[in-house]
Amino acid sequence: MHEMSIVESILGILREEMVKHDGKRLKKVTIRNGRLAGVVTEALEFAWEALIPGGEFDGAELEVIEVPVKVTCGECGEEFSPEHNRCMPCPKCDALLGHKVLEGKELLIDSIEVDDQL
Amino acid sequence: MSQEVPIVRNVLEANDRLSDELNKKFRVKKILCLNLMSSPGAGKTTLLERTLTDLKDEFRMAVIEGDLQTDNDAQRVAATGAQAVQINTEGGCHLDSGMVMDALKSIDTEGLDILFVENVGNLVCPAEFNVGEDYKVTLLSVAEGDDKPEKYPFMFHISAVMLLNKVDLLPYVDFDLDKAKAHATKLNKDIKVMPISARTGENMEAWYEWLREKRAEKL
Ligand SMILES: [Zn+2]
Repeated sequence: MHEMSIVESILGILREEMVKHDGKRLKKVTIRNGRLAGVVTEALEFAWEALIPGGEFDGAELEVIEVPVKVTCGECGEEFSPEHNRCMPCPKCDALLGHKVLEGKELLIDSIEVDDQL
Repeated sequence: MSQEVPIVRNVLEANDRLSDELNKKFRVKKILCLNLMSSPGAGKTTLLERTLTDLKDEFRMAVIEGDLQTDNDAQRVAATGAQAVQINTEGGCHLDSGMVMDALKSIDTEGLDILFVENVGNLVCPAEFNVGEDYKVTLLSVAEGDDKPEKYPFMFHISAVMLLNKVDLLPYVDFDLDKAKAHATKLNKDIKVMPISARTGENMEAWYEWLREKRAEKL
C-alpha cells in the first residue's frame, strides 16, 4: 500500500498552495484518481484520516473523484472506455494490445477550498 | 471568506522532483543507475550476485536493496565485495526517491561506476515511482508465465530491458519465449529482450555488454 506516501506527497503540495493563495485554513481538497493510477480510493481516504488529525490541515475534507479509463485502439484508432483495466478488447476490431491511454492514468490535485481565516 | 482554487497538480511531482535531483547527481558523478524490478522470486538477488562477481574487476558497483525476501539477500550481495545498503520499506510496495536519497548517504559514491536499485518485488507500484535511475530493467522468470507483459503493460512500456531469467527451466515449464517477446515489443518497440539464466550463467554476456555500453555513454 503506497497510499500513505501518496498522501505525504499531497500534503507537500498543499503546503505550497496554501502559501501561494494566502490561505489560513484548508477546508477541502479534491483529487482526481484515474482507475489506472494504481491508487485505491478507500486506501487513500484511510491514509488521509490517519495522517490529518492534529496537524495543520485538521478537519479538512478529502473528496476523491474516480476517473474512468479512456483509450484509443492501437490498431484501428477507435476511442473506447474498456470494461476491465487489464484486458481491453477493442469493440471495433478486437485488438487487445498497443492501445494508447487518453484518460485514467492521472492522479491529480484538482482544486482546493481555502478560508482566509482560521 | 472561503474560496475554491483550481490547482491541477500531479500528486507524484514531489517524487519526480527528487528523482531529477538524484539523476543530476548521478550524471555529475558519472554513475550508471539502474532500477531493477520484478515479481517476487524472479531471481533479482541471484542476478545481482552473479553480475557483481563477474564484473568485479571491471566496475565499482553498489546495491541499494529494497527487496528482502530473506535476511540473506543483503549478505549474499555483500559477499561479492560490493557495497550494499538495505532499505526497510516497512511493508511498502515500492521504493521512492526519498528512500534512495537517504540510502545513498551510507554509500561511498566516489569512483562508483554502477548503482543497482533492487526494487520491491511487485510489478505494479514500482513502475510509477522514479528513483533517479537512467534505465528501468524488468526481470521476468520463465516460471511465471508468458502473459506477464500483457497483465502489467505499464511496467514493460517504461522498461529499457526485459531480462527473461531461468531459461534453463524452459524444457520443464509452459513458457513461450516468442510470445512473451512479441507482447513486450508490442508495448514498447525499443525494449531489449534478453533471455538469460543467472543461475547457470547462460547468455549473461549479452547483459554485461549492455551494461558496458550504457556505462560508457555516461562518461
Ligand atoms: Zn480497434
